[in-house]
Amino acid sequence: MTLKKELSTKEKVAAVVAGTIILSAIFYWSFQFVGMLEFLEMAYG
Amino acid sequence: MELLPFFEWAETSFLGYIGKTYGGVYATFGQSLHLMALAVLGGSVLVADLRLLNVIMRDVPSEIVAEQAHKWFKVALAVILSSGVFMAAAVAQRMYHNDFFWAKMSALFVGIAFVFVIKRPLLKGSHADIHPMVIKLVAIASILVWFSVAATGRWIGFSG
Repeated sequence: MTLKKELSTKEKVAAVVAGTIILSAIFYWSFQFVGMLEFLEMAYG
Repeated sequence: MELLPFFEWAETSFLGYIGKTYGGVYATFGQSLHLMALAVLGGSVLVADLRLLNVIMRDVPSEIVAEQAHKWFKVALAVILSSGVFMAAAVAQRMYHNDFFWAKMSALFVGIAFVFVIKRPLLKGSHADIHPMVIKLVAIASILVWFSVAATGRWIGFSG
């Protein structure tokens, strides 16, 4: 693969959308995980 | 827009009636087909994305792997959507009130849009012309979004 200095518009859009998806997924699943921990703490102390 | 009337109608429709009344039809044409298609879709996503990440099949050009995987992705997606509509119709009102159903639908919508609007147009042609970092970002996002579809889908079964 060749390394280019300038990204094309298609590459820029793909990078932004992919980055948004990755951050959203991390946020969503972290939120779910914290919710589960709080629930377990309430149930079992 | 209020969607509840649509879900109420779906449950009383022909599909809803068949799914509700005949457990065998629901289990075979609904759940079994849905799960098998999910396995094919998950497989095609993982094969293509792990190749893009240079983890597997390094001796095969990534363009060929991505192209072949996408053909099976489309078949699996068509089966998932049709069997999913059938399954959801049988329990439509329960689905309407289930948060994870909406989480799955959102992830599915994002996943489909990502594949057909971003990923495929980007990966058509030579991958050597695309910045390696962008390819890797797209592959990781793709795995995460389809993981979220599968996980929220399974979560529906364990909630409500």
